[in-house]
Amino acid sequence: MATDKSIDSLNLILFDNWPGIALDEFIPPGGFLGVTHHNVSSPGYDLGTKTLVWEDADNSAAGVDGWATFIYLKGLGDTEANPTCAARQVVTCTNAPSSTIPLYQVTNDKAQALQVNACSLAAYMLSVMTFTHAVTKYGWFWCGGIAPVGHVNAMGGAGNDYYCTGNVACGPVVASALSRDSIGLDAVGGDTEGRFGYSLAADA
Amino acid sequence: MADSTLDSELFVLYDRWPGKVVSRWAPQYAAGFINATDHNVATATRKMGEKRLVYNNSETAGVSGWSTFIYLKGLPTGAANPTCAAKQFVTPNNASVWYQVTNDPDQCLDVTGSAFAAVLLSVMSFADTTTAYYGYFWCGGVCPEAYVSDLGGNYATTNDVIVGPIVISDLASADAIGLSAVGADTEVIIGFASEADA
Repeated sequence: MATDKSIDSLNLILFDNWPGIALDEFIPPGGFLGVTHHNVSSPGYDLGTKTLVWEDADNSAAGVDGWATFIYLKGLGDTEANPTCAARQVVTCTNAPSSTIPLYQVTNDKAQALQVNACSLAAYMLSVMTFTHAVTKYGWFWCGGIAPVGHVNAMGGAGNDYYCTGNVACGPVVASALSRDSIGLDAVGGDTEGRFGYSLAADA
Repeated sequence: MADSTLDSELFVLYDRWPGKVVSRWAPQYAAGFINATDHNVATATRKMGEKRLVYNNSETAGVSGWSTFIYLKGLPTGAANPTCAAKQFVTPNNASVWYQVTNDPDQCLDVTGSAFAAVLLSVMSFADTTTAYYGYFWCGGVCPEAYVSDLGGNYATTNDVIVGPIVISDLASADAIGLSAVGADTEVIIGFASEADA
């Protein structure tokens, strides 16, 4: 497998493929990393709640004006320990949904994802989270629009690039297993692949 | 291959742009979306990516249905661009500024199959690398001819459009961006044609 590369946060725009409409510029108490609702053991919002917010370049030296969508998801591994969570890792669904497993249950483990390559239901983690295969944590994830650097510093800026497989050119991108033990971005490889977003530049 | 055309009533656009949609809101000026306060101005009056969803009534012009407008920044990057005109497509030209667009197929980041396409409503004054102009563009739904009469009529195509999904493409015989049939799975579909080009 090729060595992973990366793209800058300014170069990535996500397509929001998750069901539901977004709230109008709702920002949760304490921001998206607020301790009462992010990385918590009991959900602070209905799973799948989305909010569309304005990203003001004046709030961040690394961002750009535009719009970003956040979604509230459940982090839980399936059967085994998952890699240590970190900001800018992709998560995807773990299982087919059922009466006990919500559609919105996600993992950062490429070995436990329902579909790791080109799963159209994907999102980016905003921070370290402490869910494992045995511990559930709920929180906010970035799922649409531009990187929300002004709301969550770790989503952009110097050194905070997004990992790719080394194949990404300017064009649509899909979720994909990386060489490292996490999920990142790849170029589209076939007409059965769900587009996760669009890269405005090639990876480097 | 010589270029061809597709009538404004025969395709719809899929809105792929990030942004907030405000429903049933049109500028309260006699000139509507091409008013001199918001459109083709050197200083932005709206947030980048703000979108307006309006109903195009066929009793006025075009076909009935919903249309989306988006507010964007026009600015070439490396050279003078072709003279702007209504019904031309634009797409991003700056990898770090997603809302900056050009009508020049030679200055685009990705001219064929870009996910982000929009249509000029009128002549706009961005022409060189020194002065940006901001304004509204059509980015989704049916052609909003009832709101901007200059959007009605023929749109340039690459002469391969059939009934089905469409992408934007570099036109062969004109220095402009138009519509084409889908050519590869790496191209992003930005609309649907309900008839072949003429």
